[in-house]
Amino acid sequence: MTVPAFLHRLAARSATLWGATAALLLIAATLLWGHAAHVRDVRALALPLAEQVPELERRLAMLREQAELTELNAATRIQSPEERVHVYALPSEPDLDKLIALFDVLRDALSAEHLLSNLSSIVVGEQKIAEDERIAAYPVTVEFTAQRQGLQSLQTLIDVSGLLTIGDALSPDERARLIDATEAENPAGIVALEQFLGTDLLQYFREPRPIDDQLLKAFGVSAFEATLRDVIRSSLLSEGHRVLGGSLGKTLSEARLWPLQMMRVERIEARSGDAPEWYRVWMELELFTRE
Amino acid sequence: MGGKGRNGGMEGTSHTPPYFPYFPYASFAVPKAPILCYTREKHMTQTEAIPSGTETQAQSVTAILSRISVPAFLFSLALTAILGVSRVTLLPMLTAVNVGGVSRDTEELQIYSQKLTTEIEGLSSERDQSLMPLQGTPYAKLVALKALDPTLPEVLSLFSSTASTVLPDQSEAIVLLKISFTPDDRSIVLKGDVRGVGPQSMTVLAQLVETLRNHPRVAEVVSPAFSRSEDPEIGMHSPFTLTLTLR
Repeated sequence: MTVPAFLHRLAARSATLWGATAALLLIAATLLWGHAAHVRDVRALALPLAEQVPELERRLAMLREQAELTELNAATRIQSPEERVHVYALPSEPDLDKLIALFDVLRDALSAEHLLSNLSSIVVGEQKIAEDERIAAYPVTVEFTAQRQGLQSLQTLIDVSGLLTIGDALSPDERARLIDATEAENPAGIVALEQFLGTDLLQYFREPRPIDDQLLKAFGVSAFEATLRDVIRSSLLSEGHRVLGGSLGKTLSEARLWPLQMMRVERIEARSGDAPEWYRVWMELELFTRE
Repeated sequence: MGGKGRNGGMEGTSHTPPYFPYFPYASFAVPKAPILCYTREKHMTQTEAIPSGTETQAQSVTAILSRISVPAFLFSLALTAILGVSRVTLLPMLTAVNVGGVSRDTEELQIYSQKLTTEIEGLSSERDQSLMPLQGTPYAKLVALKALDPTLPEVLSLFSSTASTVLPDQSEAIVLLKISFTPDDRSIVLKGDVRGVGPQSMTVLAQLVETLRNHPRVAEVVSPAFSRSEDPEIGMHSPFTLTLTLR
């Protein structure tokens, strides 16, 4: 067929051609809209992602390095953390001798500072199962008269009972702050942080400075130090050092009463005493064991 | 042209329309119309060869449309083809983003970014598990539970700071006689007395309740019964029993 004859045939189908033209223009409009949408997506999604991806890659590489270092360090541990929990914090039976010895030591230490008096006998009740069936609790009741600061010291001792390491005494937010500061200053310092968090708690209460210095060696004088000081100040570490940093901590260590078995206050009643800031206290504790 | 008949000779004859190459109905024959023929016969010499204005306009538009249908089709075909090629090959090539020496389009970047985020979460979790190996154990849950417990010293501080806010110069007028609470349910019962402020003891008590209610650590306060009595030793006083719930 020649071109003129072809065009003649096309001419004979003018309406069909116009229909096809309309369809093609519709497709063209769709494609044009697709162009605009693609460019919009690039601006809205791809460009911000292009900024984020290098930071994500850098963070991933840093985390890989940290994960390797912490795994290697964990492999060098002598005693597993679970073993220490099973022996000291959550034994299978309540260690009543240790409990009575603890209250004796506490009475002697606080009485010497005129912060506690009239400590009654300790009464231990029948075992009850806690919400978690793997844990059991024994009720322990005790009465005493204490000055407000003596109350605080006794409360701190209950708070640190059952805690084994520095990491246990920090809240998840406090640990996260230290981890973030490690990532920002020196990711390889994660090993030093791991060792810091795994340090025995009484050892830290009695001599915090060498342990802090050991950690700070990995970072130098930096923003990390400011974060560390702030965390220590606002956490249980500061109050624990106040109560157990002196003779009480020394006595607990020498009498092999540390680590303490896990305890928690179940119920407490206090009446104003005869002197200001003195209270007569009745306290029921839970002494925890594992099932 | 046919010969003359009774009506002027036009009846029965057919008229061959002019030839329009692109007009699809070029072979369409004009029908017989006797009246028209009569009219035509009457005005034959003048009107037969010249079509009316309306017919001329319609035929012009039709002719134009017919003429431009092929170019229009060819144009739309070319436009669609170019846009198609551009969408499939040119646009992705020009808008791919180069990150770290690798070119990726938007979808690939999203998938890659999601993959990185998932890996980061996994490794963070692994690292945190190494740092705190007892996470998730009953021991760790007990430690977390203890950390949330309110303590007696804390409650005493809360009460004494509130009393100082209500009566900065005379906070000893608000006397706390007994506290009892169970840390688990965070509910605290306070028994006390407002004394040494004369007939204003109930007003002071109301202020105490309101100040406790607005304390950030306090979730709820059950108001006490407000009363005032007179004691020969301590004078006018308002004893109270308050129940607080901490946040």
